[in-house]
Amino acid sequence: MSRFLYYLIFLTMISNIVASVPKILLFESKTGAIPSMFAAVIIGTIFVFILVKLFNAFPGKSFPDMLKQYTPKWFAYPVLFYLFLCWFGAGLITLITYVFLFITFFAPETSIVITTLAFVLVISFGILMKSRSMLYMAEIVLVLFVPLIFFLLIKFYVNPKLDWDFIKIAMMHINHVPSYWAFGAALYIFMGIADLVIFNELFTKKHKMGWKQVLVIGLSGAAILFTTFFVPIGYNGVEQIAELTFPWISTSDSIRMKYGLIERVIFIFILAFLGIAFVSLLLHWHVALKLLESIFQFKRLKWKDKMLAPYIFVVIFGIISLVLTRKLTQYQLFSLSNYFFGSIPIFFVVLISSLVLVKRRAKL
Amino acid sequence: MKRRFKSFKVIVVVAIYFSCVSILAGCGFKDIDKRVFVTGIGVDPSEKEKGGYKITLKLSLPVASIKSSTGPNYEYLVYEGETLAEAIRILETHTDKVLEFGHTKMIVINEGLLQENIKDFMDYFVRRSDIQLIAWVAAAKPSAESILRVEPAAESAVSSTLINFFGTSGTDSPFITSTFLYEFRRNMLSDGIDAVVPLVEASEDRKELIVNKSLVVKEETKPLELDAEESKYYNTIVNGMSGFSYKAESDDLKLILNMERTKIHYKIIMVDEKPTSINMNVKMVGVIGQSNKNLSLKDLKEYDQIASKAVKKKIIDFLTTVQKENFDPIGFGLRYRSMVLYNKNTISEWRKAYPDLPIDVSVDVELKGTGAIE
Repeated sequence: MSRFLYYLIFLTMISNIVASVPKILLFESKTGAIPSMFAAVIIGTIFVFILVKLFNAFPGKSFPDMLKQYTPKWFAYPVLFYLFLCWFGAGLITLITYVFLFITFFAPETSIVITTLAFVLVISFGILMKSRSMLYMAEIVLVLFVPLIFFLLIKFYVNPKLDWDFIKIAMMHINHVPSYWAFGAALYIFMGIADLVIFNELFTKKHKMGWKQVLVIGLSGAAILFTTFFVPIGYNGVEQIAELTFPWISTSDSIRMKYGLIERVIFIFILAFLGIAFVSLLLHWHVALKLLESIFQFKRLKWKDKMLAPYIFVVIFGIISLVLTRKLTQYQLFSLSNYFFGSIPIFFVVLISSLVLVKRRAKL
Repeated sequence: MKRRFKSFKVIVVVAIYFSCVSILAGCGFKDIDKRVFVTGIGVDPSEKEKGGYKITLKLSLPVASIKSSTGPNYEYLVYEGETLAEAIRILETHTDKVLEFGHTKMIVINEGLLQENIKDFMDYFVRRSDIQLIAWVAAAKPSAESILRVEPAAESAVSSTLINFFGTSGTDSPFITSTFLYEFRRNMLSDGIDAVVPLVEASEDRKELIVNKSLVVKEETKPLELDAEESKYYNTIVNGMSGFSYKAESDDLKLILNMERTKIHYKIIMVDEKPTSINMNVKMVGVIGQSNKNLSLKDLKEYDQIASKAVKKKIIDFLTTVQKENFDPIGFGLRYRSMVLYNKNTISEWRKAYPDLPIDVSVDVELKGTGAIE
């Protein structure tokens, strides 16, 4: 497997340690989060395997091209639009969550509009980059931040104040029926691979997908989910864990580096994860933008040989996020992400079945 | 023509850059000289109205340089209000600067408040996102205000004595219990463990602080005070802390042991998922620190026996005293809950069983030497 493919997978996994996935998982901690996580790791890994195998049949082609080539228009366009909505939603939820988090913990005095604007401006430039540069950027950011994040996560585990009794108590809640919403949220961390719909263009060689690769993805997914779910419980207890608005940020404030440059780990923690989240967000919206471009091609909107459509789309993205960050309340964001994560299984099913359809039509 | 176009472009870019400068004029922040740092918060019951709180804020005043300042400069703001939030809002009008809680390292609570409605005022500290969850929580006797107002002579310009007591960066003693805010909240709200906070007292001349007792806190119950000796055993069991003075006596031999390492394992013995006894294994490694007689190195094994017996008795004493009062600072209940599959009756079953559970302790002390002399 190309290393860039791993980057796509790991970026989404890591960025969701902090964002809204833990909130939903911990909310369901007493009603079947653990069996749902088990299910999600198994099914998620299978989905990743199937997707890579399916895309292997079409090296160097993006999904919109394949769909348009082999399926009728009435099928291709709605599917593409649905996929666009999913990616746009994924990016939007990450963005809003991080803006809220930033406002709560970093700069409570700055107005929400300015914070969002700062995010949106940087992202807008980012998503207009070429797909190839996106992958290079993902590599650089991963190399910069992952060692730091790894160090911080180790610090969480070796701290003697982490009470494993609480973690074991949480594990004793295994005797529940899996909850659908928790399953969706846990499955979301495997969504990174789906970025292939656009980035497959750049991979002209077939990916090797054997036992080793499946094992690496499955195990890292399980490790990330374990950390996401159990570490906050070990620091904050079982009963009142669902009360925390940002479970992981509060947890990171429970760690201190006595002789560190900054005593409160929370600030380093937020910055490191902000970096990862930014790239994950960029990748999501880049895919969303490319999908949208493949649906709506305003050929006449040109200025000096440059297509104007992407710029217009980016402005629309920005405006939507500005409006939503101002309008949404914490609770609405929570239920919005809940419904979004609930739609992830459907998303995977739609993507995989349309790929199978394309493959049949192409008679490969 | 083309060259002129290029220079035009450069001018435009430069113009954009310069116009950006005007946006940079003000950020959302307030300058550091318009802020004042709250290093400690004290909570006392109100003297005027029932159910209210008296808040004391300890403000650290900035000094120009460490060399030129003679000692620490503090200012205290005190106000009584119905709730913490209201009182602090009013205190914001008692100073010309913004109260900055990001450096609050000390939350001192009057001993008398730690029995009912603890959740009520602890809520404020956790809800405010700028107060650190790694702030230290302590109980105060006789009042939080009087403790915060103590300024020991040994205090230097840029450090705060009260904060240095806790954690291991300053003094490091098994008598001192250190409790983080998040830890206090976690243990207080969880079933099966009770939170323990250090009890801070002032010396009679109000010049020194003394921290060697602890309080076991449980909602709706009068807190249990652990004296210095009990606090030491608590810290040994829970935090594996070890210090100088573990005393062991036999017929005519008096030893003071210096423990270097302590390892504690405990489990709940169950029959049919019902707790029947508590089993605790203690392993200690150390050297002899003081003796009333000449010692010989070849008798170390014998001293091991004497020491094990003495420590075992002390630990059992401590555990049964706490158990008799129905407090569980160690977290035996948690351990029990982590061993049985969740059902609704787990907690009530444990509560019923705990006061009469027999406790088995086995202690294994391994002495490495007799110190610098035999």
